[in-house]
Amino acid sequence: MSAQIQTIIALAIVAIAVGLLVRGALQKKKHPGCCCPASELKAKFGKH
Amino acid sequence: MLAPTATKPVAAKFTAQHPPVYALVGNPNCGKSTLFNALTGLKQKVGNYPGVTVERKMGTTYSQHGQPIQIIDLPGAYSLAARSPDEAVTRDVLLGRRPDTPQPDRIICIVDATNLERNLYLVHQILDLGRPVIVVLNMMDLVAQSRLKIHATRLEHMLGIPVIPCEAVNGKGLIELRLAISRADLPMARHDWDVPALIAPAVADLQASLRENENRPPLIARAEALLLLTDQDSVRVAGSTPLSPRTQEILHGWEQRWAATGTDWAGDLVNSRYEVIGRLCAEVVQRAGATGPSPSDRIDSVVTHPGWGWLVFGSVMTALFLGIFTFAQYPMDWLDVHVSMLADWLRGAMPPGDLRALLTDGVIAGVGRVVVFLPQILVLYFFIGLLESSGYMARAAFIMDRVMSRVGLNGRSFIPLLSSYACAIPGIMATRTIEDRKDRLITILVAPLMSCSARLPVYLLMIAALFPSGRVPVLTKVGLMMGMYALGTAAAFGFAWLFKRTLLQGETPVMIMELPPYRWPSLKGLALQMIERAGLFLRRAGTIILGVSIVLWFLTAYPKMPAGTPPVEQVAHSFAGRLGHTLEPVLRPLGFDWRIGVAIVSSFVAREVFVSATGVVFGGVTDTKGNILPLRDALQHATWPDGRALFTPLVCLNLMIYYVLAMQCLSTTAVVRRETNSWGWAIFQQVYLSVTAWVVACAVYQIGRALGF
Amino acid sequence: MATPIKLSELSIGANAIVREFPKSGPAFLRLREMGLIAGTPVKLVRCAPLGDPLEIQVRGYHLTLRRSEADHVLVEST
Repeated sequence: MSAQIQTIIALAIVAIAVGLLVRGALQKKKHPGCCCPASELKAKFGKH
Repeated sequence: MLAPTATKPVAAKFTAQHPPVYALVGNPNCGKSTLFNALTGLKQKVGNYPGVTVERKMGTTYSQHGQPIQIIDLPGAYSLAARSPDEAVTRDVLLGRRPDTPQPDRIICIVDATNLERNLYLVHQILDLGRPVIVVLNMMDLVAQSRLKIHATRLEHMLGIPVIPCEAVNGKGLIELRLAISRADLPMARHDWDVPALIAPAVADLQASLRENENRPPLIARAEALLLLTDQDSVRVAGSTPLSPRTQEILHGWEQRWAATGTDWAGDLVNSRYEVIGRLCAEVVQRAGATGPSPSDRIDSVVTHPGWGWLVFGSVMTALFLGIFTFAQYPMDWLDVHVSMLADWLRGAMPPGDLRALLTDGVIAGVGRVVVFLPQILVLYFFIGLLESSGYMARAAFIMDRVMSRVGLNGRSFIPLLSSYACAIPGIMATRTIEDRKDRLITILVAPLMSCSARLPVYLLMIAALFPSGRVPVLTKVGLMMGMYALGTAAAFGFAWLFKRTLLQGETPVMIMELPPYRWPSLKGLALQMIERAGLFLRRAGTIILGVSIVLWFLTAYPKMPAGTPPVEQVAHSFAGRLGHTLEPVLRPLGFDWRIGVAIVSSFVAREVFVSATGVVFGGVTDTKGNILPLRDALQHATWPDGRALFTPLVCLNLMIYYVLAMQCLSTTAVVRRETNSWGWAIFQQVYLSVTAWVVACAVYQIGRALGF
Repeated sequence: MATPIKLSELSIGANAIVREFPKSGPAFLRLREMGLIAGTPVKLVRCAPLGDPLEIQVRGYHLTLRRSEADHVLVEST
């Protein structure tokens, strides 16, 4: 793997990391405290 | 005058298409979790109720025919008149007020058979709801020990519902319980209790409104009406549906009327319930002999003794600390070594380049940092779980309450704060047991001031740098360390007091707490809990630390210098280095230069990173054994541009003080954000701690210089 | 019939019966729900090593409460 390819992949990973971090922060703002079990439940039971 | 309607409801039939949803309720300390674990095994999902920081536990158990049945483990409650967010959630779920959680069809009430009367109070309230109920008499082994006899069949006959004696720890009674759960038809309780005449008209009014405006079925409406009227300081939590305006109007009207006439509605209601309970217990509970002091009483006479109690307390706390620092140390070192080995292997396996550097210094280092936390967290949770389930935790809160209430806190804040000495993260998560929202917040806000173990490498490095000759006298070392710990603790209490007086004013919380009998903790339950919590930590904090490590690598590696530049210069010209340079004016009054600035910024990911960051910045590398001597030498030779020594004893001390007070842990911030459900408090915490650290460090440096150090 | 005294004034190990307590205040309802209603026998087991809170025995279990809370509960020694 040449140095240039390495650089490209590395920078791509950094960009993804930043993106995920930011998305995580925004998601928490929209749904405070919400997490997987809740959405699973909603899917299972619908409107009870 | 209306009388509340009490129509008999139809019990929900258990069909193959619609298995009922069960709720598990009971007092705290009645063995509910043990039973839940026994019923569901590993088929549990733990999360949060949206909007509140209350743990939600759902699980699946199987009927005798192998059909999956959902069980919700509701938070422990003494009464449906909620006094804490936990109890509010229990109440709301049972009443069907939470759209995010299904309303249970059937309810399993766990009762601690050794104090039946108080436990039956909650059961009595739950019977109001008109849903099928199964009563589980847990802790029958302790009943036999205390020479009590409980006639379960008589109770079953009197209540008209299944009553199942059980020893959840041993698994006795589980088969009978599973049979009961699997029944297609469950009988309705014989609950011929009339609402006391004093409050009956009010209840009827509200009940009518709830049926009309909120579409509640009649019995639930009556139960809810009762609760609304008698729930004066009712805790309301986010995520539950608010009442309609008409209902609120009626409610206020009656409340005002009662306030005007001085009606003792509480006395009436509670007395009425306890009357029924008293009659039940008189028939059902039998004392087989004179009761002498129970084993718990005898243990307590030592554990809470004015003299011996402190000895026990001190020993337990010491064991806790030592346990964390010793048991966790070996796995941590092992992990450290293997992470470095992995990085070395990768360096050998890949040609040099950015990706390799990212993987070794960003990804592997990042993951390594997270994973290294794990042994400590596991050990801490083990000890806390042990203290809690054995019953000692309550005694610790009992003993320390006086000290805590001086700063306006509750004895229950003690263990979370103590745990923070190892790591603030499990400490902050442990604050869930604190009922009062404000006190919980204060405890969370000051927890990072309790010097966590991540600060140790920083302290150790600075202490070594203080002494040019090399060997640090042990006493000085210990003295300095204890000084730092004392500073942190004093700051924590000081800020707690301050917050209580200013931002989060409130009354000193009540300290009404049950002292449960001592019990042998279930190791299986402990293990399950440990794994659960550790998993949660890994997922939450882990992902953030990894992400930030990657970003930080980028900030120190770019913009790139030509190949072959010594790492020191590379860092100097990187983004991080430039950030350090821009920060320097802010840091100079503290005696720090831009390189220290870079190290401080880097250690936001994890405080221990300070050591490796200083290594990179100052050029002295720590070898794989963590030997800091080469680094120490490098530090001692570091100078300002004009030639003065950078790491004077004053600066070393100051850096330690800075680290005591500063909030240098993004993982903790992430956890705080999750536990407080808001960014605001997490940011506030970061700010107040950073400002305090800066001000104090500045003062120490300036005054120190003025005094000639 | 002895005159009612405050729960916090009981001597250690003494038994008493609850007579009265306030109809309002932060925890009065919870205390009652935990079983401390008029006519209930209680026993003061001990004070914490630092003097506060108190530990009482009621309805077969042990409860802790602060002196400031116990001050509002009036009992009659037996």
